[in-house]
Amino acid sequence: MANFNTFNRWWRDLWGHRHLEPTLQPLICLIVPAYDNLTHLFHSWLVGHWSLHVSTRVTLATKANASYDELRKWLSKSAAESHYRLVIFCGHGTPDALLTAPNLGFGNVSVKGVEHGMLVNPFVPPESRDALSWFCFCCYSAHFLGKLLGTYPNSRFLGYHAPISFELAHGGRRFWRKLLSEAVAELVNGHDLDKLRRRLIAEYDSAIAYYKSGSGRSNPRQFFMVLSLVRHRTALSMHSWR
Amino acid sequence: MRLEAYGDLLDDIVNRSARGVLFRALVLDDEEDFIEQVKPGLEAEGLVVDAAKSIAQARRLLDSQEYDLVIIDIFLPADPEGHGDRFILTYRSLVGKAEIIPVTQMQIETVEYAAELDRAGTQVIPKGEFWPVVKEKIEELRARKIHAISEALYRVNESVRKALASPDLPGFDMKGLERDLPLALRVLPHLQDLFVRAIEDMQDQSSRSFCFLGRTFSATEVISEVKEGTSVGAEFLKMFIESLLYEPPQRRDEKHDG
Repeated sequence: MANFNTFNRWWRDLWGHRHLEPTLQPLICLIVPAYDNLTHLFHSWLVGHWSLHVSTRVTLATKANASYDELRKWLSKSAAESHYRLVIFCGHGTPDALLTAPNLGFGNVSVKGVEHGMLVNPFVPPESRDALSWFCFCCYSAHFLGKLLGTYPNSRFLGYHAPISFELAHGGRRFWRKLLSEAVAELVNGHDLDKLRRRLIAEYDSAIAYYKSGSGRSNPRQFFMVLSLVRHRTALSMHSWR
Repeated sequence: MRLEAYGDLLDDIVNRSARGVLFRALVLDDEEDFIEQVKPGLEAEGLVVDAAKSIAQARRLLDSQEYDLVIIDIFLPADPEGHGDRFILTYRSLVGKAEIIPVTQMQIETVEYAAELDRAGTQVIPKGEFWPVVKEKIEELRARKIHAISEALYRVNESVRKALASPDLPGFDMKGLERDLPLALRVLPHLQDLFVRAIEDMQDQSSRSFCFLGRTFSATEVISEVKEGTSVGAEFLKMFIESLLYEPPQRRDEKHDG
């Protein structure tokens, strides 16, 4: 992808974004299913975010269309249209599936007593997965599913291999909102998973330092914030086909 | 004790463990005065202290118990087998991995045995200069324990993670797990206790704002999950261990540079 990005930057500098050849434009599918407290939060943080309007080719899948059918359609259509495709998913995950609202997936699954729809698992949908990059901001996705999706030719996967937590009180909500919206904006505009991984690691390290030994020590929920940040930092994993 | 800084937690584990099972010291001296003088000080440093007034008593204790620190007066009455002032050199193997601090009331320069011990790598300390030396040794022991606990926990964590990632267990280090698990289990109650205290120390106990595995937890709910040993509670403890083992980038770089 490095060659494409270099070329894309050069082309943009020379002619401006609007002159890009349609076939060279990256296609991005942002999936933010909203069906419980946390996913509604993710949804409110991302949908309508200014940076997402910069790119003209973002397909936004929210609750209404974060379905298996929509994703399958997007995967086959985008495969024919672009060299570079990126799926950004923010929601719930298990070691072998990305989840959506009940009845929107290809089947339902109960996780800790709560019903979810299955959006992606190792076997469905099998087609159109080559040359696909994934950033999954959810629990477990890099544990098994990510390893598998990263093995398809020219594919890469950035996600978390363990369950991740969020402390939302006393500035926590603001922190996660900034982190997630900036991460997504960076991907939408820069399309560089490596750069995003480095950036996230730096953000986590500096936030851990702030809460562990900086002025964040006096935060009333400092302990939960540190637990969450360290878990995010240690679970962040990249899988690549080579 | 109020936890002032999260970073102090690891030291606290060791300090608290020392009061429990992890640090034990044996003081061997036929003079009761010396034992009475050092025992409270060692206990205040967080060590469990046993005392022996004879070689025979010390041997019984050393047979039944593992010690981290053994303080010995180098001049002792001989035991029934005839071993007396050569105790340290004779019984070094019996002392095991413990740190030995030989002490004496006499002028070191005048004692030939002290020179012999010195040549064998064990420096004899005059009783008058005992405290600064023993405090330094305790600090060394603490550092070593911290390292051992961290390493063991890390290896246990890695072994379990690998095992979970590979259901058919290829490359699963069962021997390593057997080696490290007892130590990890010994510190587990302390970890659990510290985890609960750290949560109880948070200024905001009431917010129900900690999201994990599709649920939102209050501080009290997190504590009860950990105390009841549920799978979510175990995951919380795992996160706690991760946060104790987390090294900031600067320290990681220093390690790699070193």
